[in-house]
Amino acid sequence: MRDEIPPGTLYMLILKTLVRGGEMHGFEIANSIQQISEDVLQVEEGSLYPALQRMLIKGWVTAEWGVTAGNRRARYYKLTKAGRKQLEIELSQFQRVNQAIIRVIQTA
Amino acid sequence: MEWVGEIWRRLRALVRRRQNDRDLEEEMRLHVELRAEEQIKFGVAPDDARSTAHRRFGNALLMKERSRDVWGWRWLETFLQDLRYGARMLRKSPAFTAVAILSLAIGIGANTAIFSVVNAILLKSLPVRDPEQLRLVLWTGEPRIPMSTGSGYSTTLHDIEVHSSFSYPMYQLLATSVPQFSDVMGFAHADLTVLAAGESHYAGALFVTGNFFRVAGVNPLLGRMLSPEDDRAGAPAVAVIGYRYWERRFGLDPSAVGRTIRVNGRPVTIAGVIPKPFLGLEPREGNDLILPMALAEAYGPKEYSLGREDSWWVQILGRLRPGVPDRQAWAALDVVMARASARYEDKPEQKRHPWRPVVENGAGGVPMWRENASGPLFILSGVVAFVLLIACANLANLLLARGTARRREMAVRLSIGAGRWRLIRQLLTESFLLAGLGAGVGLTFASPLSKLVLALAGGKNPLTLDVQVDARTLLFTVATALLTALIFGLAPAFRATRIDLTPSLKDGATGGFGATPHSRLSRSLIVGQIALSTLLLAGAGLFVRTLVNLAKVDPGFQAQQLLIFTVDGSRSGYEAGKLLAVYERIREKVAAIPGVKAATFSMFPLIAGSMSNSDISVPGYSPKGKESARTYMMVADSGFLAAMGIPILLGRDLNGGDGPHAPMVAVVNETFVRDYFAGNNPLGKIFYFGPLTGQPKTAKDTIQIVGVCRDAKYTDLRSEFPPTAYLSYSQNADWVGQATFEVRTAVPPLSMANAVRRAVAETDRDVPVADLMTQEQQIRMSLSPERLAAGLIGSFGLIAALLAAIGLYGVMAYTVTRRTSEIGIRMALGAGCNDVLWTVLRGSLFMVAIGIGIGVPTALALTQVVREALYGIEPNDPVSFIAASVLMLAVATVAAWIPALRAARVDPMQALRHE
Repeated sequence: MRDEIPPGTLYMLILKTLVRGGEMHGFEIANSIQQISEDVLQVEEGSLYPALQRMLIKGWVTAEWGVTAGNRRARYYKLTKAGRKQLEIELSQFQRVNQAIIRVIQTA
Repeated sequence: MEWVGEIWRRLRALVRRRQNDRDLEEEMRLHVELRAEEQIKFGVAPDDARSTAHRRFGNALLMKERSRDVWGWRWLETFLQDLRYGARMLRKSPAFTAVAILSLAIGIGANTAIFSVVNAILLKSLPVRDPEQLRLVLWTGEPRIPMSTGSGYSTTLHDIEVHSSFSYPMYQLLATSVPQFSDVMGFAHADLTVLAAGESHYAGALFVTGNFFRVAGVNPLLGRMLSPEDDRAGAPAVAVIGYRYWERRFGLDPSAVGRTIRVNGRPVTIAGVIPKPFLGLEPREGNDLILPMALAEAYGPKEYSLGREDSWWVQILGRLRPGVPDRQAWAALDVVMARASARYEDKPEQKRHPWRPVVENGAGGVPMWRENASGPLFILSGVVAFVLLIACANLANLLLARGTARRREMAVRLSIGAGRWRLIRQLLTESFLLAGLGAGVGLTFASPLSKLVLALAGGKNPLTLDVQVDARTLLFTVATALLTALIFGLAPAFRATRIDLTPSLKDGATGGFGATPHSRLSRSLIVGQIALSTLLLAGAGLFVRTLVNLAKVDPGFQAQQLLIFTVDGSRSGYEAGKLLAVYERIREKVAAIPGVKAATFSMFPLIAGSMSNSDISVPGYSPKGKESARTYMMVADSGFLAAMGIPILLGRDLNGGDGPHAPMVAVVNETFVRDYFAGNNPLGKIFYFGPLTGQPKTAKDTIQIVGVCRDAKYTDLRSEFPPTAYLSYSQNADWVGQATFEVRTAVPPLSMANAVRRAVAETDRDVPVADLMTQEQQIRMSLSPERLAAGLIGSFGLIAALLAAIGLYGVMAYTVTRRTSEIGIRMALGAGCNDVLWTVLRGSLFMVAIGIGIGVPTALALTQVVREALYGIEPNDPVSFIAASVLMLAVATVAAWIPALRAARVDPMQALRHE
């Protein structure tokens, strides 16, 4: 059973993945999210790219072309300082919301 | 500051649009390939692996679109795409495009031209530092301080009579006692005689206080500007010159700076050149030279006294401190002025309106007071707005027809899923493109047109205004173009995209019989155009008839074969007493030229707007109401009336016997006799200058009437004959200043020009000849505002009629094409050529008749506004209205005739076979 990732959390997942993995290209990011979530979280892989474009515009990540282990050209994304700050914001926001939801469910 | 970076990154995304696209594509492709390879490694068959990879990736096209959306330039791409498509569509129908762009160019160009004149006259600020802080100081009421006005102007402002001049001591007082002004500048205009570059000529000069250039913040183009050090008694005499003067007189030679010229006979050194944008403070006064105020007494007219309190000639411009309300400056001025006025005793019987200051915005310099300029500008703005409106209606009509022709295209695009909004946006983009192109073409002739308007409006003194297209004018043009595009494009765009798909796809361009929904709209547009054109033509008729009527006016003297020119010896160092002798010598020299029948001279030319008048008292005549008796005066050489061909009806002409020691005499005209002597014989009767106060009148103010002459026009052709008294120079030597010579010739007057110049130069090399022309040219020049109105409104009226005709032609031609099969059936059923011709023609004439029927009453209501500007006709002049209606009808009939004829030539067999 695979689940769609909750809306609005894709940026957080990408940012977190980049913190852990340093420079990664799109395919690696998609795989990393799936593996770490033990295949529970399923990203519609293509939707990574508009998200990455937006993060580039926002200045959270930078991108540079490099070469993969298999000697292919790939675009590698790297977190910026602004990206790290954004991750903190998103994490705390996510936790706040998450805890609130859990409280609501448990008291019910 | 994050948003700055973001904007920068977005802009970079815009510039690298293509590269970004390629990068995105490559990285997405890599992703899918890597996934497929991974699947193969897991043992999946290659085909399945690829499809799994694609499935897991999702809709790549959509992802690409979404990524582009993130960059934020999609609207621009769509717009550019629409623009390219629109340009292609316009190229496909060059005739339509040409007519559209041309009519829009005329509409938008004319509006831009008139706006740039409005801008220059009413809106533009002086090219100085912080012009919005400048305030003109004026006054109203009556000062107790004795005064005689030497320069400046009076005008009605906010319904009160205001005056501009102060005495120099008053300027000094105000300059130091109003703390609300950071600086107070004084200035005064004067026409001076200048000897520069070996030639003597008249120049418009401005005397300014020493702080002027520092306060204005005008920096020199060359050399230096004037400083307070130059404005001191005993300082070396220097002047700065205006750019246009530098261009005209020195051919832009930089060595002009440092040269010494002679101004009114005295040496002045040129210290610098003023940069081009600064054209002076007043549109009517050429600012060739600017001199320090300290020189005004020695170099300027005799009224320009620096010490006398009763000589009023200085105008005042103050710079208000930032944040200080006008009201405070006004109050401070009021206190100072009241105190200054209070030093003078008032006579007990005098009840005066208190002397108060008026503070007026001076950002635009000394304005051409609005009542002079705003009336004609208002009319012209209305006219060009109508022209543009007609062009809009035309365009809307053409687009409606085009929309029907493009039904199939629209239907196809709608049926393959294009949104209606998308199509409307596409069509509007085409409209914007047309309006933009029209505005571009219009801008190219806006500037020459506005210069022409200024030249014609200014007459002898062309207005020194900068009508170059500036940012504000450009903004106006862009806004006009956008608005225009919306007006003419919106309705057709909505119409064109409201399509019932099935029939449109089925039978293409040919529709059914009868009126389609679009035809009612386009017919209304035609009717509107015809109504507006009729209105403009009727207006044009009124102004043309006014011009014709004025040109036919008998001035009361013989204007043919008369050469006139003006000299001013008073500025070449001659004292008043000697001046008359100089003028008489010139008269003798000129009269001796072969081909000259008579030569004479007077204070100023007739029909040139110049005048001199005076209150008089006539024993036995009691003024009606508050108006006192008043006469116009013409002080002239004793041969004036004879040379001008104004016949003496009674008594005698002035002659050499009326010398300085003989009793003062005058010849008066018929109106004078009718007004002040009830038509009775006035010979030997007396009148006095000035009101009767009980004091005995001096001999100088006591005038005996020795003759009566026929009425002649004086300031202009339009005014009634004014009561006029002709006086001789020899008895009124203190009136001698500049003089205009009138030379009656036996040959074409202008052929004498060089001989006349030589004759003047032989008398005195330093006295320049100015305004040399024939009297008839002078009269024509006096009519230049009327000629401008008739010419502009007439041309615009004709253009409007032509546009309406094109519109009518377009709609009728289109209707005929659509109804070919119907016409074919009619003809097959026995209708003759003439029946068909008449049917089509009747349809058009019906619209034309309604248009004229709406246009005429509208014009009748609107032309009341221009009543003041007309001459010899009423605003409802039947000739103009009938002529306009007939002309409109004729033009429209020709336009409708062509498609009607085509309809009559339809071959029924062919038309039906086509069906």
